[in-house]
Amino acid sequence: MKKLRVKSRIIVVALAIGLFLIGGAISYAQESETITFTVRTRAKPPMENWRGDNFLLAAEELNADLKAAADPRRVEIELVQDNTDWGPYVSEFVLSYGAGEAVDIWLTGHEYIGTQAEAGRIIALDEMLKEFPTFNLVIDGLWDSTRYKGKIWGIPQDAEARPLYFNKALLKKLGWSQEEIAVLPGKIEKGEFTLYDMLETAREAAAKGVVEIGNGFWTRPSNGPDFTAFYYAFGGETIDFATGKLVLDKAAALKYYKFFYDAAQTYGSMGGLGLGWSDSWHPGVSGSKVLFWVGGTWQWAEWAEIYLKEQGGEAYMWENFGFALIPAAEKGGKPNSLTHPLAYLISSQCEYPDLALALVAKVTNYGPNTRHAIASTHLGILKNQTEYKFYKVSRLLSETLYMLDYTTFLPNNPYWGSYSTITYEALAAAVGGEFTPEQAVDFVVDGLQRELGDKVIIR
Amino acid sequence: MRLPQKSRAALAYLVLIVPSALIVLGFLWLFITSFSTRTEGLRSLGWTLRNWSFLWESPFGPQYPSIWWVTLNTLVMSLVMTLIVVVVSSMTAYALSRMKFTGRKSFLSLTLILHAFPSVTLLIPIYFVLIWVSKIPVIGRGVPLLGGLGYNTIGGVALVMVAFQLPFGIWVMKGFFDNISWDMERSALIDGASRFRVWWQIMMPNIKPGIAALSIFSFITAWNAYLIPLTFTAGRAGKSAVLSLYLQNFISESVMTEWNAVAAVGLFQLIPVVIFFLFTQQVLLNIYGGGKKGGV
Repeated sequence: MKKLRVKSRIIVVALAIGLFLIGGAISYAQESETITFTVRTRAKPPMENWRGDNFLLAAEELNADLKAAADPRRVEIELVQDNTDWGPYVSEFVLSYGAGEAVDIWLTGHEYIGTQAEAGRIIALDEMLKEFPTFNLVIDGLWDSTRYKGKIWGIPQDAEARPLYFNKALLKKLGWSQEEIAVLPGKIEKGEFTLYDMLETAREAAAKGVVEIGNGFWTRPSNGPDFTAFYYAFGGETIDFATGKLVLDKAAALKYYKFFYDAAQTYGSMGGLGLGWSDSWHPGVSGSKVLFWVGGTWQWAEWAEIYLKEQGGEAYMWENFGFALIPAAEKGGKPNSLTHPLAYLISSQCEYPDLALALVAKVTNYGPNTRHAIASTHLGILKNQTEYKFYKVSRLLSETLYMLDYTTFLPNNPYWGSYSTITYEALAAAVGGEFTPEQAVDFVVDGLQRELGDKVIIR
Repeated sequence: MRLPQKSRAALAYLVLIVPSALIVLGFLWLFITSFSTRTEGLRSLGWTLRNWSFLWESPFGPQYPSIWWVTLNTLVMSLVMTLIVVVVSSMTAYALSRMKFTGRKSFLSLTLILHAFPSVTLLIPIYFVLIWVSKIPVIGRGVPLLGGLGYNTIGGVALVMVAFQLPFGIWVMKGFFDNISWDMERSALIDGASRFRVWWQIMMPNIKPGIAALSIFSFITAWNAYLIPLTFTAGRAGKSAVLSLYLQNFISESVMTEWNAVAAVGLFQLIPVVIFFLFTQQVLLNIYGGGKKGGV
């Protein structure tokens, strides 16, 4: 009997404890609801890791804001960040969206916005942006890169310039004085030194043995945004803002292809196409084998850290390398640069887009953006960022930020991929001497009409 | 003119040594490179353990899953796939080898046709199947360790790999069953054993070399798989990352590849395969034994 009584008491106590725990858990759950946000970013480690890592700090800040505002929600971040190539990276988002498992915040090149917006995989942000005044800090011109059909679909994450680099030591060998080299960027900015002046200089360098034939001027080795800046330099347009359709300007395209045909076939100064990035291209340009080349500001850090560390890294580069805008096509013309901003997009499967945008707002500020800019040598995206104490420490970023005043973008159009491929195929053939400039334009017109039909306007 | 015995032996050794040396040199380079700061051919220009630092710290930042988690994922995927392939292949092969039923030949031909399909052509249909599986309660998402059998789970990837590996497995196992004498099986059936019991207790012990061979092939296929995990898992850095994707992360189109680190991770990826091979090679070497003797 006594044993039974003890057992009953134990059961009662256990039940009481159980009820207490369940009650406590329910009460805690009611008090706060933790929401996990999946953030997917692409970053070259370790230079670009702040693209995703900034969110880990942002979550802490946002949780403090939510607590202060008596909002029961709390956020935590599941960060997926690696250096996968763009093709699989975009496929991954599309496939996971199809499975109903898209990430909440997705960082990608702004040129994918058109495709994703058309497919309904991302949301327009215009209305929500007003609730976060920090977005007013973003340089106004950069919003154009995330606009599609009149709406804003993403928040610019970083920007860069794609300057024309030149090798000071090789120019000296060619007979240029220190002063002539120093004023070259200024002459380019004023339109006094044109693209053809560059080819002439490159030809002279090859003729005098300063560089090997074909090493006077290099572009990137494969298709990519850099080439579009040259098309713009010759007056080309890629998009009709009224209709959102792609545009090919035949007259500009002819000049563009003639330039590249001349560069390789007439001046004998162009090379670089088809090379491997890490085994030939980077060693070539950083190894002082090339006089002029088009690269990105973000590559400055790679050259310093990876290819030229033993020679003195950045100090050696300031001594030997210079940079300027992409020269104008004609004397007195306007030089340019091309920015390919990455942007944070919010998936339409995200259940709490307001909180997702709040997180993006946290990372779109001087501190987080400067951390990324300095570590990765990308340009800042915020107004007055050159005045920010910690941004100033980077001489390169401070000296290249003016290039955003001359910047151009790729068009946000779902069919840009086909357009870009066709125009590049023609360019490669013109450089290789297989096409004359006229044949290259005919090839592009045929290809665009066949593949895109009325989705492209040919003028 | 006939060469003397010694010369013939020497020639045979020469023929064997030359191609083997090339392979050995490859592995030697891999080993030396993984412990070197830089190499010139097979000469190390400085020894270091830095290339192996991925064992204790993630080279891609603290948020990236550790190599041990990635290895566990790969191991689970490979073992699950191997187990299912061996069991299903041997059951199917036994039926195809020993029983006569309508559609037997067509089935065999069909499996061969399926094997001939390049996996890349089936990726999209399989994707839709996996999405459908994801929606099934528990099986789709709730299987411990495997995550489930749907899209973006280790189990889902294993399931797809099984589908691609089964035709090969069935044909291999059928060959082994065909070589076993009817007598033992008939005796067991006369003694009252069921078909399942005959398969399990009489036939399976006699085809151990076949099981070993198929296990090794399946395990290595799964262990090194790239395209299927890449397509059906979301993110190399995600929870379902496997070793081949982890390794690929060191090789980017626009950043200089640190081949010393790649060599170290490659060598690490090789270790379990070698261990697995060592454990199964004894059985595998009896592959032509047949009957009781081969059963060991």
